[in-house]
Amino acid sequence: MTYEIKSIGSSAFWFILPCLFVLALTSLYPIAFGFAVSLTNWNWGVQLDFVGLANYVGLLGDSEFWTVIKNTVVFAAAATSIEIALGFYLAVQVDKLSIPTDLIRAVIMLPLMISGIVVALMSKVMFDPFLGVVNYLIGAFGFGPSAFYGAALTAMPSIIAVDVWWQTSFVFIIMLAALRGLPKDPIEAALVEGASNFTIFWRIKLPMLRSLLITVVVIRAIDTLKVFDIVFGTTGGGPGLATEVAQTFVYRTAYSYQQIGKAMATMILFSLLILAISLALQGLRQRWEADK
Amino acid sequence: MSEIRFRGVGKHYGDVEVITGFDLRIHDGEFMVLVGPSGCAKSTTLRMIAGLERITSGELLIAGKRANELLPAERNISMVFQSYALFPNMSVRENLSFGLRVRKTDSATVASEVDRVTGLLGLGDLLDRKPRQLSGGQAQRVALGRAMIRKPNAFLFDEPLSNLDAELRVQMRGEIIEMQRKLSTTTVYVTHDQVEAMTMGDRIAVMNKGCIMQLGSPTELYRRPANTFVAGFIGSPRMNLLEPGDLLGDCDPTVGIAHDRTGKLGIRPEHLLVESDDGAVPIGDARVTRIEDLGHEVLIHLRNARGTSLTARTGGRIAETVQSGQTVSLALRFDCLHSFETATGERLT
Ligand SMILES: Nc1ncnc2c1ncn2[C@@H]1O[C@H](COP(=O)(O)OP(=O)(O)OP(=O)(O)O)[C@@H](O)[C@H]1O
Ligand SMILES: [Mg+2]
Repeated sequence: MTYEIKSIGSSAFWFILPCLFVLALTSLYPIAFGFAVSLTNWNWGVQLDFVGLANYVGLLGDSEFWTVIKNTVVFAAAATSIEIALGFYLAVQVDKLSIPTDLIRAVIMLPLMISGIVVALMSKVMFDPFLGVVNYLIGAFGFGPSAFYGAALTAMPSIIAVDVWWQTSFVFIIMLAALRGLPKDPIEAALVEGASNFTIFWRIKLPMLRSLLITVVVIRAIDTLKVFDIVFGTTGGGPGLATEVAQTFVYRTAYSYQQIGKAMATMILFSLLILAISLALQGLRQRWEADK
Repeated sequence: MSEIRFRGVGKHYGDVEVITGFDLRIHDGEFMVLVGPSGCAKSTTLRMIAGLERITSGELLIAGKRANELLPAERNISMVFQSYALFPNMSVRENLSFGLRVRKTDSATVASEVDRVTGLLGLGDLLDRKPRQLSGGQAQRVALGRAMIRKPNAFLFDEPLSNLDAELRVQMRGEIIEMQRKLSTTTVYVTHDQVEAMTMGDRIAVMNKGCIMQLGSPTELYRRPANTFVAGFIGSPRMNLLEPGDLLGDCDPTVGIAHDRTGKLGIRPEHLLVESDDGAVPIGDARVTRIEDLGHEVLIHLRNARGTSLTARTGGRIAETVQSGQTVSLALRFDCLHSFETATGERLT
């Protein structure tokens, strides 16, 4: 069902204007300011020269920048897909249970209530090569101890695992509510028509959930692309550049090296990346909506 | 094709007893109509047959075999839902063919069956639409088509024509009856509509509060209602149900009909005569309160000197002369009278 407003009087524009003005001031000004700074070599001090696109050219030609972008995208893609798959799977399984599921829901939701830096701290202790319970456990199964955050090969998977532990319940909660809210009739009709539960899931339920699922993917993708706390609190971007992501890179550039212009340029480039990814997912959703 | 049989079936939702001790035998190939007031568990009964509602106690037999535990898919039954229950993400074509496709029917057969049902129901222009682009009546026809495309053991219809316009309703009524006669598939049909109930069913089960009040052919129910509930429910406008003395007091000629003075009397509106007729017994005068002229018949609402409201149905010439506020003399034929026990409402003769 679509409701269309047939004609909007031009007076409506004048009503919206003050609101637009405030929005412009609060959201456009900082962005414009950031962009302006990205064209300088400001060092938080007296050095402030216009350098044109030098920061951008420098970044795009810098292999470190590309490693950072790759790390960020790898982290976001892996964490988002595992969280979506796992959270949705859990929701489908819990939805099938005919017993009251309040307790299960509460337990699965617990990680979501903890702040990122606390999650980082807890995982750092648990993954500690010498003191950590995780190494103790894998040792009990006969495997050698792993350095986890300390080794280039295992650092990124460890951070992904922590984010999955932390955020999967977000997907779970939303998808469970959506599954519970699906209209019963079409599902019953499909049962009578002789469809198996497998068919009903893929042909009836999933299509009805598709656009919500994409929305959840968009939210998780943006959130994971902007990851900071759990990287900062565990590896700090190391070892080497193994887990350096956009936010930690910008943090280091701005606060350790005082290269504010370069940091801002990174932010602008990174924001464009997020924008592109969100628009692509949004486009996908609109195609599906139109098709519905 | 198969017999459906309820043996002492009960259904509870938590503490709420919706159906108790339900016994009903629907013969192989029979067209059974379920009627009853809203909330009397008609839909629940259908849903138990389809396997969508767990049976709390008793036994449901389909084709002689216990079906309580069978999954819906194992029963091979077609159902038209009261709410249509179309698949929202599928086109009309996909909705129609869903049942065939999940049964792995080859695509040539699917296409020809879709064509057949499309023609039958006049859905040609709608095949590529999504359910949300359909009107209530169109959606209902798609729901009918989805049920009629397969050759199931039984058809279940839950008020399938309630949203169609009068003309389409008559036409669909004919189509359903014809299809049912041709395939002689066991059919259970829920309706609120008197005409549907009377014209479609081989037998009618009149339900109230999860019990069957009477089971019989349409004619039986109309001519010999087993109790005041059925008497009042079957027939439109409803039967005049009167306490003895409601007509003429002690000299009421109907008093003798009831076996005791506590009996109730039933007079169908068409048996309450406003014009004098041979062999009719006069039962006093009444004032005309309202006239409903339906064209082919006229309903006259009356109130007599004792304050009793009555309805008469006539097709006669009197319709042209009688007016609101006028006083007319009433008469009735004794052989058309029904009598019921006051306490239980059961039929007396
Ligand atoms: N899930 C439920 N929980 C509790 N009571 C229910 C539930 N579903 C139905 N009922 C009750 O069961 C009774 C029968 O419902 P049902 O839908 O079978 O009635 P119906 O005869 O089909 O009515 P209508 O003519 O309005 O469609 C109603 O009183 C209803 O309130
Ligand atoms: Mg119903």
